[in-house]
Amino acid sequence: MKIRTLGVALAGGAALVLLAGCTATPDGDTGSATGSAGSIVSLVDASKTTKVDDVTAELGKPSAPDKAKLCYVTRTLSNEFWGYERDGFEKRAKELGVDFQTFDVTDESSITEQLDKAKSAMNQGCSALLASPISATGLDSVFESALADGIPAIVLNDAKSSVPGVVYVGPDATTIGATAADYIAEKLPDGGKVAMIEGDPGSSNAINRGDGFTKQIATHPNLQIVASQTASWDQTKAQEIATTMLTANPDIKAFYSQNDGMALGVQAAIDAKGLTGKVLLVGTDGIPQAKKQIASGGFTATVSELPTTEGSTGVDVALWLLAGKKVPGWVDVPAFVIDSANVAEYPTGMP
Amino acid sequence: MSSATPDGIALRPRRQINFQALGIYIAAIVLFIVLGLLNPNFLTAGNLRDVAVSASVNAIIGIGLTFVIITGGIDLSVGAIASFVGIVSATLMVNGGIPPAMGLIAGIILGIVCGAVNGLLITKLRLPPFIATLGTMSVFQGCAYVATNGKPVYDVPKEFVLLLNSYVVGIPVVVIVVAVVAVGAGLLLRKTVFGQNVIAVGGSEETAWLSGVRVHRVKIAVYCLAGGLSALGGLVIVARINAAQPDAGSPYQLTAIAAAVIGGANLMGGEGRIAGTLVGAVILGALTNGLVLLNVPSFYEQIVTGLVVLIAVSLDQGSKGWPMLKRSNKKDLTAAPPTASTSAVRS
Repeated sequence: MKIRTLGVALAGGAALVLLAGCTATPDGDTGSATGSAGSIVSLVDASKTTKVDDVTAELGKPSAPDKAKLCYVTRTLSNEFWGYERDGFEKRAKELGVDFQTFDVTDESSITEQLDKAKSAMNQGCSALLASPISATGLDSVFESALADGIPAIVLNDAKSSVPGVVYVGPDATTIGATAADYIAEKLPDGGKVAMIEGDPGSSNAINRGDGFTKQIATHPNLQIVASQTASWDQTKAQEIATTMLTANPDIKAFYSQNDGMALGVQAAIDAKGLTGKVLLVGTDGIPQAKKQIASGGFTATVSELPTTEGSTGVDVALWLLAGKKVPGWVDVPAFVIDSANVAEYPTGMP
Repeated sequence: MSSATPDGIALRPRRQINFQALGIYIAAIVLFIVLGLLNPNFLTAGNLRDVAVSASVNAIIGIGLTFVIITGGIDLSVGAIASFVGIVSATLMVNGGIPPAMGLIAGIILGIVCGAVNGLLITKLRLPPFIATLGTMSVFQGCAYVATNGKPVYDVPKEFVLLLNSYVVGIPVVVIVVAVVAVGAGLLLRKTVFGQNVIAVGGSEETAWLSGVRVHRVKIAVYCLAGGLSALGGLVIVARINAAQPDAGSPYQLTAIAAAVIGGANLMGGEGRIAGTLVGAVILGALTNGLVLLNVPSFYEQIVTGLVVLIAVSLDQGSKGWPMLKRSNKKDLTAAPPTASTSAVRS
């Protein structure tokens, strides 16, 4: 009995020591809270939205304070989009010589896990907290306590926070949907039937992109949305749904997919029906595979976001705030259309 | 029908210290010490409080599951019930304008109803628990999406959030809730006829039935209990994230089972401890928190969590396997007839 008990203890301990040993990371000093409570909030002009290029031009390259550590609580890295967001964050932090750490979660439903990790991160010490919340309000309590301690809080992409003093760096998801709608309208001057493949019904990106697309399509009277279904960001599901849609409405002229992964599924469905090139396909995100498809004549276009830019801008915003500079509440990183005309400009990765 | 505990079933070994149970406590203590040595921030009061809060949902749902597992069943729908209840309660409070306390009660009633559906499918339609709850998991999750057309519910009343996500003299309310639930569940399991019947059903359904235990009623009751506690877990999630998300409960359907199993609940039935499940939940919470502090990427974290479950269960099996191994060896040598009572007597 004793031996077994000891065994549990040793096995558990050994596993942990091993793990700690094999994950050498930039572990640095705990953050130094600069500024007093509330001072960060007053530096953020909540009503102001400025394009990222204008902010950067105005405030310039930030310098890294001594003993600062930036923490980024991201989403699941099994979605490459968040990987690019992280890359931008980590690359910029390295470039400026500031300590950093990234925290990720299991999957897109790990809402409370993300909250727990953000808290752990703060307990460990962060001079600034960057996060991409899965649920729009999920991390509010952490943002509030961070700001109360004079620690800047920055949201990268997707879900704007309603907590005053939190800076949002990212595009307007509604505009993304609207951009796709306008692009389809431009390519289909004679109008026709349109279908939408939706993301996970609970996610704010799916809701906002869907709203933007639906409303903008309504402004083009010759376009009708004949089908709109959720594939929960899943490629295989998207393929099945698109196949069914094409069976039910063989005269669909265009598909809008709320992300590129699902658009790849739609592409497979279109190819199987022998309609390659005859049906417009607009994705969202601008992942490398989508760009390959555009170059080879599969996808028509994708509404690309700039995750790497957002990640690195997040670092800048954090350091500007730590240096006491005023920043807008929304640093707009607008999405843009990539199609066959400009796809060659973006050969690898994501901008 | 007498409801007295049948004396044909020896429920627990007499006055024997359960070393297997001790093992899990010692493992937890060692885990805390190791994490504390590796990162001094781990053992700070604030961080330990966060660990306790993060363990709370797994603890609440896991305790309900422990009862189900003791009867030899399983409930895969707990996460879906948590999601469904969260979204319905939040909608009632935000759009229906009902007061937070009523929202809480309505949610728990809905959870109990969901549990009753599981129990009826398992007893009246004689579906295996795995299949029945696999089906209802999908149904309840779908209901959660249908309830609000997939949209999250924001602006949950402040009072509701305070009800489950605030601090009383520095102690998080959820931790107090977990303590109350755990003590109640412990008493229910060990000190009441119902608890004895639960263990009897898990030991041997047939023997329990022959001894006058109303097996169906007991089973329906444990699924109701699991449903009610899943609902409570779902409401805690809502309070923690200030919103109801239609899939917020889904990560818990497996981690709550893991908490119960780490704590010594035996999926073959007849065995399970409330305190063990609590420790299981705390170990999982400490791992998530501690591995973050050590900067272990979440993919590795999943591996570690899986290994912990495997180690815990193999110890659990090992502790039984060893004496049985000896016995079966002897049996081979002496060709002694198998003792039919063995399986029923073990608890």
